[in-house]
Amino acid sequence: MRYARMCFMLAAALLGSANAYAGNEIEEMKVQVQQLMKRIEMLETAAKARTETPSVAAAEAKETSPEIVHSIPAKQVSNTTHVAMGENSGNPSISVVGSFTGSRIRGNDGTRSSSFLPLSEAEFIFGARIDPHARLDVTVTAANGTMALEEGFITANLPWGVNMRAGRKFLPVGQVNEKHPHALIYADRPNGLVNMFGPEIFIGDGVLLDRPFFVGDSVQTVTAGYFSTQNDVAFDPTGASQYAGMARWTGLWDLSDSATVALGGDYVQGKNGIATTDAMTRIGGGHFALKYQDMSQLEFTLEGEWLRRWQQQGIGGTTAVNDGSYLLATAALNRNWQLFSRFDYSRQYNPATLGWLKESAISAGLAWKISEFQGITLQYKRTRSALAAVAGDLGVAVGSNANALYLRWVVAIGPHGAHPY
Amino acid sequence: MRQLKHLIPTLLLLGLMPAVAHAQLHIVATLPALGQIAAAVAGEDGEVRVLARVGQDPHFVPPKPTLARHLADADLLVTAGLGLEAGWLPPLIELSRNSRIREGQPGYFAGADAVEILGIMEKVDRSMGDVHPEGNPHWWMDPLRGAAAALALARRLAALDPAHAQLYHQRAEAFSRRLQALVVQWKPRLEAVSPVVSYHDSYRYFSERFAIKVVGFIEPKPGVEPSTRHLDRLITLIGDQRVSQLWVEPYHLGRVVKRVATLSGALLVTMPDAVEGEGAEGYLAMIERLLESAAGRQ
Repeated sequence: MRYARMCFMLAAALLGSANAYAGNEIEEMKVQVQQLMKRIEMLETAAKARTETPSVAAAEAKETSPEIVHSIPAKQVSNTTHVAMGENSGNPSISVVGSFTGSRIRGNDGTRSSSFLPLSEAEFIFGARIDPHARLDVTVTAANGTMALEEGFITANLPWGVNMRAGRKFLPVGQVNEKHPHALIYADRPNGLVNMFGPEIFIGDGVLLDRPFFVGDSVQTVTAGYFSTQNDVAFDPTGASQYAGMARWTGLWDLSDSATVALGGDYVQGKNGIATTDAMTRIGGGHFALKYQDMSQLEFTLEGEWLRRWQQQGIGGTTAVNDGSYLLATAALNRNWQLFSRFDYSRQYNPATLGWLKESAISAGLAWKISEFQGITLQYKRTRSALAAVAGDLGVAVGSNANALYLRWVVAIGPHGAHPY
Repeated sequence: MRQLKHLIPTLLLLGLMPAVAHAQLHIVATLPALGQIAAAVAGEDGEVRVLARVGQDPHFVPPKPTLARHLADADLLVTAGLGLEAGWLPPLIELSRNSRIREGQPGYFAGADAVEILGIMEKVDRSMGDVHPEGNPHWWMDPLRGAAAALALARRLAALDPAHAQLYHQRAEAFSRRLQALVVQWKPRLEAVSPVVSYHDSYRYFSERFAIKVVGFIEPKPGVEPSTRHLDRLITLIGDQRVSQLWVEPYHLGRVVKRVATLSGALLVTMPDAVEGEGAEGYLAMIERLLESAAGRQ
């Protein structure tokens, strides 16, 4: 009985306080509504006066000037949009990039091949921040009827301005290997890189650390990494996984408001598993880029890259030496049309003859950027004395010459990404 | 020992120097006009640097890695927002390694969040061109939105630097009053302006503020090059609607617009989204230049 009385008293007290709270709230709302009504009346009077007599309106506006700015229903519309957009804000951004590349190749050994705009590659790109400290980027590629994880890495922001990228990544060796093919102005892969790493991009699974240093008006970026790779041209010919380390430096300086120059150096070293477990592959090289872009979108670039590979064929055995390089010039006539020309040069040391086998190629092409989301490239390439890797890629005999014509159409759907520099 | 007596206070003073130097806020603005608004509010209590140059297309600023050096020590980044800088700003923020100015942090300020936005699209796909789904991002072309952004910026600066809060508010209020007086002064003068055609939809905020009708665009859709068929139709429209002016951003001034102006007889007018100048004076000079041009005085 005592317990029931206590419960009744407690309920009465709660109800009473709730009613008192509701009463206060109603009173507050009444005051607010009255204030708003007054404000509406004031604004209506001001608007009426303004339409009737401009001079009076001007004087009044000067007096009540802060109200004009505040009268803009600032947050109403934009907040609605943000709420609507926010429904999917937890999802990653998703893009699909399709590359349709047709080719017509003629070798002087009589080989012929052609294809007309097949979907040569479709990339599905997902990316989002995981939390304030890191983001995840994943690229899945569908090509030749199979799907594969092309890249998938976490970028973590560490102290002292160090970024760590962990996972599978196109390795930042030189200045082309790290870029996705659809982002390049040309439709093929430079012969020098094909001879160095094969027709596929040089990929590693591991950790990369990089740190930019702002020195005067320049940016100096240092990168170090440790990874495993299954590259069967530069490392283990059986495709077995091998561990390697890399170091890289790039520097970029402003020459003027419109021009920059970039220089860089790369070094990669790891076991290649050939003959004995201690045989090593070492790759060293450098690159440069000179860019000019004025405000009317007139643009000119000259860039080049040279890499040398030393591949031990076993302890006490010979060392195969390969050089791969390219020199590229581009000129943008306006925002939509670009011309380019590229010279590729590779050579391979032949221990049997103690001489060098040399290969060269010259390309020229035209790129039309239809919009931000699609572009077409037409390219002609003449290769002379193809080395083994390039010959395999072109489908011609080693040492033969080949003419290749490429037509590539790249389309992208999804959010607007950042433009590369 | 006597030398040490002088050395210790000197070292102490040197130790204090970075703290004294840091008393001034480091502000980076993406666009020149935003830098001028920021300088008008920050005054001598903030050092303002700008990433884009006057005359540069705000959609296509080359993301030179060297620009990231300005962001590396910034306390506040002022942007237009609504995806205008999406093509070039994110890699620079990433390279700067400055977590204070990432989106969502107190050091990131998008002016679009402080003003009423026009041109919001509920349903968007790329067949509509390179549109900004969250709205037209060229809000700073309207002086009253510039004023609203300045007032909001003052609040943000006051939060970052409470010691100078009052000064930020005072400067923003003074700037706002000057812009409002300009609108009051000019609005009646532009009532008789004939309809205009522009290259890109950059002047929506400006034209709506001063009740000027924009009846067509050289671009059939944002970011899409015009076809000859579209230009033919546009020239007919210019005649039918008695369009007197063809407004063009300095970075779009090319062969196509000159040809349309010649064939249609409309006056080709360069309407900049920024002019050279410091702080409030620079921004006001840009607005006055637009107003003079719209009134046919330049």
